[in-house]
Amino acid sequence: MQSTKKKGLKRFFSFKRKYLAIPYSVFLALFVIVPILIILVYAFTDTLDDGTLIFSFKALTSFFTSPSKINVLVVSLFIGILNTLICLLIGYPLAYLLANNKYNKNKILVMLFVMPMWINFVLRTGATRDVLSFLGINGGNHPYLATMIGMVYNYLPFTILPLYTTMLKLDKSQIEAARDLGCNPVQTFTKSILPQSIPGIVSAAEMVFMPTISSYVISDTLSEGKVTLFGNIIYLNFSQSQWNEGSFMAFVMLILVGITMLISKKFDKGEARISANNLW
Amino acid sequence: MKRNAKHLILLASASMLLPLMSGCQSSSAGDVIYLRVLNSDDYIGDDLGEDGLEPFWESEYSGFSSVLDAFEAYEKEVNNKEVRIIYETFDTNETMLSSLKTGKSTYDLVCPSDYAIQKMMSTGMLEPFSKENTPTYDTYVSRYLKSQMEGITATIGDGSEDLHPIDEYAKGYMWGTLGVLYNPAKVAADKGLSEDEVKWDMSEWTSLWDEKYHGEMSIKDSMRDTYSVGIMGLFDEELRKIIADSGCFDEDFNLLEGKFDEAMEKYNPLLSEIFNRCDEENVKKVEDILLKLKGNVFGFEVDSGKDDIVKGLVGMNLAWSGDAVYSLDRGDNEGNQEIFYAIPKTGGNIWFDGWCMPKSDSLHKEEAEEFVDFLSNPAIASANMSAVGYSSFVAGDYVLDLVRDWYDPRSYEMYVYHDASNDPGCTWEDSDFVYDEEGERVLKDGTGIHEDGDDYGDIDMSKTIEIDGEEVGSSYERAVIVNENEEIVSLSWEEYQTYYNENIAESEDDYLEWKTVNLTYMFDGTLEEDLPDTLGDTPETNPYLFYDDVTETIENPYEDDGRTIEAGRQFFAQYPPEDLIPKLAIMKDYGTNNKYVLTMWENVKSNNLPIWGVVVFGIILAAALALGGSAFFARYAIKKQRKARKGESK
Repeated sequence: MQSTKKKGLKRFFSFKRKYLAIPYSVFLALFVIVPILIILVYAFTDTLDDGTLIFSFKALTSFFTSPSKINVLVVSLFIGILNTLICLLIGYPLAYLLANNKYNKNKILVMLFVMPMWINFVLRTGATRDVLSFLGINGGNHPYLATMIGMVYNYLPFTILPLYTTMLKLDKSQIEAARDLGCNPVQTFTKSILPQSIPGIVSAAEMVFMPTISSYVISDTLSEGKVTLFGNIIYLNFSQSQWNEGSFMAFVMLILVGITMLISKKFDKGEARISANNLW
Repeated sequence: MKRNAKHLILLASASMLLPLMSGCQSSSAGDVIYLRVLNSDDYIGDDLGEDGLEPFWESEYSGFSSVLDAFEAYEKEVNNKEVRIIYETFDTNETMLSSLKTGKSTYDLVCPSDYAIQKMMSTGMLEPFSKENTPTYDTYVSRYLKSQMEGITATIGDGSEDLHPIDEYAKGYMWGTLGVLYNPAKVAADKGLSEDEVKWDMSEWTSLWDEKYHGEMSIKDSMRDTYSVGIMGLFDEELRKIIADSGCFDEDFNLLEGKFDEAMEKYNPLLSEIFNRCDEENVKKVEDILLKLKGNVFGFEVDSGKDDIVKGLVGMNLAWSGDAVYSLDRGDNEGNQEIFYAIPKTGGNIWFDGWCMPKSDSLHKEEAEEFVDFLSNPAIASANMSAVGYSSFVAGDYVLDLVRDWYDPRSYEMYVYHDASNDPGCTWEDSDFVYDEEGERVLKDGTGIHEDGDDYGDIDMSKTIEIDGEEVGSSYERAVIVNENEEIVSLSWEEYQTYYNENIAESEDDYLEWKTVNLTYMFDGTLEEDLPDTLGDTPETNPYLFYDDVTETIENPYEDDGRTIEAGRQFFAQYPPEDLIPKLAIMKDYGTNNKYVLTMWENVKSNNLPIWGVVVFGIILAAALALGGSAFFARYAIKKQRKARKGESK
């Protein structure tokens, strides 16, 4: 009796690895799950004059019947996709070079590419605005161009970093084998390097696409308020106390995140990306 | 007894509040009252520098560097209370409103804008001020501003439909206008116009839509402000018609002699009605006109504009008067840019911010009222004004002195400037006046020193003259000078200008041509000293009148018809001339129409995907489809091959 009780106590107090997850789980519940639930509640309710909430699809209908909100969403998606593609086009070859010891001997180059991230991005955007207007590109005459330059500049480090870590892990022998077995450089790239680096591409795309849509400081500053992204319109609704409409749009954004997650999962099945499932 | 009870309640409420403020202040002092104040950023004189603020009451302290410290000392010495201010700031009315609605934090005083006060009042959030507890405010508040405030009414959220003037629930703090800040030299150079043409055009709201100013102006990324511009543009013709019909203005829309009161009474309400149109139909019209404006402007901004115009990124900017003063000063001091501020002659928006008390169980009503009343003392108001740059809601002698110091050329002529301008990079704003033992600014009547080579020392004004057995020197009433024959003569300032132009000025560019600015609407009835028995019609005989030497009179550059407009600068921005006052209106809360305006603003701010965007988007989508399709077919082909192989092997 005595011994089993002791054992039970011991088992109770003994450290298990999953206890390590407790701090984050608490954090997750407080700052992720609860806010999402609040967003859901506001998205599907309507606020009466005295402040009570009643279930309603008003926010949903007002979103889908408003051409300007849909327009903003389309423009945001467009800028998001374009930014992701440009970042990948610039970042991919760069990451490949950086990961190659021949070109990058002491990793200082990597630091240089990531360094802009160390400076507050609002400051950086303000400075970008000055540089661009010095070059004659400003929100007044080229709102989209200025926004795109700012976006690419800001999100390029986020593309390079995951690509770079994937590139470091490329299976060199497989690439060599492909070459030995008669692949030309293009085929080596498409049959060996590209498939191996897909996880990097997917996480890079994830890190660029959604933040681009929801960011509003960059587009606001660089386009002089002429390019409005989804994040702006959500903010506008909240600042005008239209919490239900604002929440519904935040919910739309959540769904978009979900969709991108699903798509990206499709691409990197079987790869050893750390999935959140292992935690629980 | 009653007093004790009150004291107890205060104590109780203070102790209730204490746990909320963990870490703010030491909680050891028993009867310390914590007054929680929420104000806009940079909106109070809490850093007055070395000289600081001299107390206006009998005090053992001197030279407060912050208005807040001064209040704490005032409460201790005059009201015998230990009050500590917990001062916090907010950035926009909207964030402040939602934090008050949702947050658990309570404040004793907040300082929102006119429409936000109205909104808070109608939701029953506000506690009314007691009628007799703000005597200083009632004494010194500008009659004009008070009447404007009384014109705004709201329900008080008690279920009844009764309208109460917001004056009962809020006390004004600062006020200003919304106008166009412009740099004529830059705009003229960019657009191939003459500077006079630019100045002339800026007296019309419709110029903002004019193709010739394309890409030159930034407007506010703020729903209400830009809406007000849309209204002024949309109803321009209607406004012109009623201005002409009112019979109070001449053909240039300047006030006719003695018609101020009539214009306020007859014209102002009509304007206010037009200005506050926000029903669905009119909002739609404003949307169309703002979309046009969007196509013609450089961009939208909320606070980068005031620096952009100094940097030369934009030539025109829609600006609040206080920001305008900041830009004008910066342009003068560092950028060497001569920037102007215009309120077009059909009028525009006047706004104010006021203190109000949100209802709560822990409200320190008495101390909150004392704080508001303290801020309304002209001595404190002028300190705040010089720290903040906006115009104070209260007038009075201190404010009058400040305005004279800042803008009236008589003060440049007669004050002695301490020579700080030897320091590199110093401007005359950095240099100080000389103070005598009593801390008074010294005039050139006997104690002055001449600064050689200084612009302000051309005429010796350091003598006194005997008039009616009294020794008098230069003052705002008379200029006492030593003329070219070494005689001491007393001149009116009118004569002084003539004397200067004839004897001192080297060319016509140096001529003194002072205009008279009438600020009766601001100072009437608030002055205690120096009031002559009968008010004359010159600044020498009427303290409500000022001289002004920066406002330019521009003749019509398009037609030789003798018509003129005034192109104003700092003084104009801080105190619009009397001609404009009846043409300014407050934009009230939109109430239930807010949703139309919000939709309008969303439509104005959103844009369609441009054509090239559609093309690029199409290409990307097509490429993605092609890629996905080919991958699918490749896989399909491999499967087929495998099947075929399997079949073969069988």
